[in-house]
Amino acid sequence: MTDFRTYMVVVLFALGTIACLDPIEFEVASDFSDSLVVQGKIIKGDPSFIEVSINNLFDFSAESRQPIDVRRVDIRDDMGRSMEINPFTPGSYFQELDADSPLIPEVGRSYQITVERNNGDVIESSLELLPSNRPPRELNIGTVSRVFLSDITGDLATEELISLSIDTEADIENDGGLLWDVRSRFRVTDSGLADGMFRTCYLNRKTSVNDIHVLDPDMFSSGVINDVELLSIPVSSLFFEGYYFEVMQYGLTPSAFAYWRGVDILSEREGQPFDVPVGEVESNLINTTNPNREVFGYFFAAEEQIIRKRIEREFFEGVLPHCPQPRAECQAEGIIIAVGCRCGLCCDCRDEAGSTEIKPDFFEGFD
Amino acid sequence: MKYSLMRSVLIVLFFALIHNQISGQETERLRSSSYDDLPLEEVLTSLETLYDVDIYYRPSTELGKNVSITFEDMPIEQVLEDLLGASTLSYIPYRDYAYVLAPRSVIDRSYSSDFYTALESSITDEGDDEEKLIIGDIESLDPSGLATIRGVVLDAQTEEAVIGATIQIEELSNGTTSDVDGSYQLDNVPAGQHEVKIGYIGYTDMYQIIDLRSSGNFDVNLNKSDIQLSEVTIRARAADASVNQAQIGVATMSVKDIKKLPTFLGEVDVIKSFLLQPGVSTVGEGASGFNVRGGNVDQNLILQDETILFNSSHALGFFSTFNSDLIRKVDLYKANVPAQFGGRLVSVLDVEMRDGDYERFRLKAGIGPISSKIAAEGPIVKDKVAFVGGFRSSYTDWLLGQISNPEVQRSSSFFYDGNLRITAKPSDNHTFIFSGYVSQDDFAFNEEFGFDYGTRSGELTYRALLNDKMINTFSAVVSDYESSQLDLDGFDGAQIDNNVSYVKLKNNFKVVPREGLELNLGVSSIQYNVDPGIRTPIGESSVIRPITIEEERGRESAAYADLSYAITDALQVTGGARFSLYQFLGPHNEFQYEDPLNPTNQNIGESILKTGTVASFNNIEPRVSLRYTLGNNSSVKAGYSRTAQYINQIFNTDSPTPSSQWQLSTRYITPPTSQNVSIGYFKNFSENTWETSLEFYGRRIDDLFDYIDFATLLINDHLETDLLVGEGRAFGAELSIKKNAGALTGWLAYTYSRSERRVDGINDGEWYLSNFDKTHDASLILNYNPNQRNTLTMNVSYSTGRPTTPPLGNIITPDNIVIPLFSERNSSRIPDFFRVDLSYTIGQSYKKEQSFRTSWTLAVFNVLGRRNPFSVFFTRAPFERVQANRLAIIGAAFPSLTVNIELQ
Repeated sequence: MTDFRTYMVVVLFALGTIACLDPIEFEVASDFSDSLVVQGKIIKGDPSFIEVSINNLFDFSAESRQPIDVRRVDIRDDMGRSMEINPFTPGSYFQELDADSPLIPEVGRSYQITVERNNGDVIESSLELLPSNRPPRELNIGTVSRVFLSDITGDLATEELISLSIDTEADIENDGGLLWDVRSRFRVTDSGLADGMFRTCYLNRKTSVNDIHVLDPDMFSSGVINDVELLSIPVSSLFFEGYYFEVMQYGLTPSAFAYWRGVDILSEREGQPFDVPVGEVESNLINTTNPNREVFGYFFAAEEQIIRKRIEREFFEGVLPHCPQPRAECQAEGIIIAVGCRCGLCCDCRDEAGSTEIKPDFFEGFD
Repeated sequence: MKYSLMRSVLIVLFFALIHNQISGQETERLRSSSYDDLPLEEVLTSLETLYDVDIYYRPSTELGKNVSITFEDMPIEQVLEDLLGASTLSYIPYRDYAYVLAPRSVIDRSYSSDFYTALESSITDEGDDEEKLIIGDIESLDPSGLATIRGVVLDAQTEEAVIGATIQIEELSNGTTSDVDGSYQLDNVPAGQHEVKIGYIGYTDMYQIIDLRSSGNFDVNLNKSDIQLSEVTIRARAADASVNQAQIGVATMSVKDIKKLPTFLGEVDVIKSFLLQPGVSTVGEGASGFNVRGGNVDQNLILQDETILFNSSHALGFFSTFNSDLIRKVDLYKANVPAQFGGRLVSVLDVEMRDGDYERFRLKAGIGPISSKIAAEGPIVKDKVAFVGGFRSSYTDWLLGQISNPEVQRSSSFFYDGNLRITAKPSDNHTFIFSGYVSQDDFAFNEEFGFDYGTRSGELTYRALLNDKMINTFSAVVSDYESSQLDLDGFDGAQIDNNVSYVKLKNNFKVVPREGLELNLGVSSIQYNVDPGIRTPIGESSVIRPITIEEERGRESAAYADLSYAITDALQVTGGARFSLYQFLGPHNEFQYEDPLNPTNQNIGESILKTGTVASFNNIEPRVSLRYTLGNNSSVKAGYSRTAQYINQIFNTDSPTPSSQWQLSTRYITPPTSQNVSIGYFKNFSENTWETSLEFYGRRIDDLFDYIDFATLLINDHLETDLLVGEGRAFGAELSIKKNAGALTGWLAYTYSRSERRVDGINDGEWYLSNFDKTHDASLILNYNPNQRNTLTMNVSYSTGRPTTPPLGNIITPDNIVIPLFSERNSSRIPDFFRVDLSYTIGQSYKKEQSFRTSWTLAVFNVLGRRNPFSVFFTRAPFERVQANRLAIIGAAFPSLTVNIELQ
């Protein structure tokens, strides 16, 4: 439907029409205070791990999720092997799986999670197959221009973006699909003005939080699929000290692919006349104790293949370095931070989301 | 000196002077003077003073030539003869104080007394008398003074041709009868004022005073004899048709009314105009198609004569494809569709194109902000064969080129449509009509992607008047609608094509055995060929898998009988039945399912090649409408109809796209059927100046389908797995108040309605609102015509916001991906819609036969600049509140100026 959406923008502009987008107040009655969301995945990778998060479903206008601790979370495979997953943070259960673990993810095996709530309710996922996943071949970084309607001038404008695409190989006989998670791995250095420490942090973030990337190999005649566009982002100060795109590729079963394709469609909606309509992404979890209590979320098993590529300097000439956000208490006291925008007072790169001082093995920054 | 004052009326006055030249001069004035090498015009001016007369003339090069003359005691006539002797001009005296100069060739012609009588009449009366109908113009009158009147006689209620009607001018003992098309021609009528009588058995005689100035047209709408009119006004339909018409739920708009309405960017739009009628709505501005009484857009049969249009929109829905200059009339049957129409559940938009002029050529042109159009008509063989054709093309392509953006400059966008209609009448009893139609839209963006779609069709009709009570009409239509969607970029570069073509044959036999009884019998057959989708990879890097979804064939045949019968003076019934037979034809590979009544991806099996008739359905579709006249110009009407639809458009977006395929009914996608009931009260006031009506309707649809969440609708060879079957219902009330006469006319239309569906698998099988449900929908249209030349029109529209599905909650993944949760479909509504439009037209001439006419229309669409939402959608960034956003397609006021030019 992209074609028709662009048509709306371009032709309406040519006609002198400007489609307007405004935030409005919109009342929605909902009562989901007791609804549970369980999201989990077992990943065969390096390392392999199991991760489950549990929280209440929140109203569409609420500002944060509410994590829920439960009595226990277990995973089992189709061989009958099982293990309990350790709590990691509130509402979050995480465990790396290695050779010593009672259960390790294997291609062709199926897995199921069980969540036992404090009120006695038991939530079970369906048994999910872990399909094979061929490694991607290459990441491609380039530039692309995009036409958009400027909110400021009301004119059509063009912006240059950094584009990322992937060359990969898929099993076209498999009815499932591919899911990509694109992350940004980059380095930030403190100014040292906060406490005299010139720290270097390595950040790991999701590149674009509302971008979902799925591919249905069934559409293609060849398993080798090149130049699949993943995302386009503006040139950023984050690139300055070294910036890697890190792409995790997962092979999905048909049911998992249907779930993520639904999420992808929902995230692409723009309210245009030719948007694919909304729908309900179907969960594979059920409350076995009380089936009338709906459970949201999804559990899937996948093999993870990782590929990375650094953005070279030629793509971001003239960009200034990134300034870590000042600490909240400094902002509250009205301390002005920026000093030449390297990093001003009261900054600590460790405060950045997804930050660590441990240098990843693959990382080579710019000096 | 006088020409500047008189040139606009000189030619008329000139002829009047000829008439009076016989009166001669009462006195003779002798003068002396001399002029040496002066321009003729200057000499004439001097002569006016010298002889104390007026001299009238048109500007010409002759007047600039230098002349010399010397005269002594000469009358002005002698001076003028000497002065003009060597030129192409001559003169005529008028009484004793004026002279008119004109080309000698004109003055030397001989004119009959009828001619002079008409000329005198035309001078003394400029036609402001509304009781008198002016036909032709004096400049075109033949020197013999005789003219021909042509026209069409129609039934005012049904707008069907009245065959055998008599058209007489009793004082001249001159008359004729209308032929198979209702057309007539009255020859050798002296110019001047006459009273024309038009009559036919079962109809009230109509008398009209005409002022015949030259040959021209006079179309007549005759009323059935149970209608008594104190006076007759020439209109597109009978004044009290709303009360006396037996058919319920019919909306008729004249092309003249349509042209008055304010339009988006100056494009006169038939379909958008009907949105102002009660019971007709759309999902939003710029959306394709229209919704009638809670029905889907594909449930409307759109006919251009007998040609079925599968896409009547340009620019994805901003404009419709009809050229208003070529249309004779437009009817929208909202409820009780006559039995001769079939194949759609809800309504029929019947657009009837008009014939060309059999006598003379006419040319019309219109220039608007985004498109221009031209229409021409005239005789090919005078009085036997006529043509009318029109072409419209946009210049959005050019507009894109003006935008200083490389991507946009590398883009293209345009649309066009063209019509040609040739009508041949080898004799009074036989008519052949050939119609051709083409419509095309193309769009390409930055050489990356694009789409195009278009319709091509041809239609041949033969009408024969078997005797004065029977007409047979046979028509054959061939039509093809194609749509392509291209993505030229990268690994998934592909072109997706789909197509629907058909051959339609129809024969209608109309009998009027006696007064008050009319019968239509007919058969029709449509052979459909549908290419649901062909996907072809484009570009070297594309690895998209080519797919051709198997072509589908179906045949929809029908036999019908329709009766119109006046049981008593008060009670009239129209109705009949249609028997439709549909066959889905092989060879076709049909998927097998474990549960054929519930085909899903999970229980799909192998496909089996089937030949012959793969699936077959038939329906009896009764259609009945009753009218009971209560007196006091009021009536009650009621109707019931059953309809079936064998080809449906597949789309789950708010508005269908050009690529939304048309799907024939199959074993698994069974044809929906609908039962419709209507009842209404109609009353006119103040001698039909005010028309009011209140109608109630209800509809139930069986085997209606909706779509599973995230359905795959393109390139899907087992589409049935993405459909869910259920039922639909709609009900509502429509109020209409209309003022027909006076300087201020217009109407108020209000609709209260509900349109719902119930489908297993959606909203737990409970009733839910359809996408196009609007509880309240109101339109107010005011036309102010202080005189014939000026029209000011205001349109005010309000409607309840249409349903939408809001997110009830959100899931955030550990990676902070926000997944909105939608559960109850269409459980909320977008904000209400309100828009005011204005238009002002100046320059319309009431002189129909004027040779050159222009009019200018200034329109402002959405005067208040209100940002009416097309949709509401929701965005959320991590750790921020979800924000509702309103998308307004036309979020500002849009002025436009359109120029219309007419030459004849």
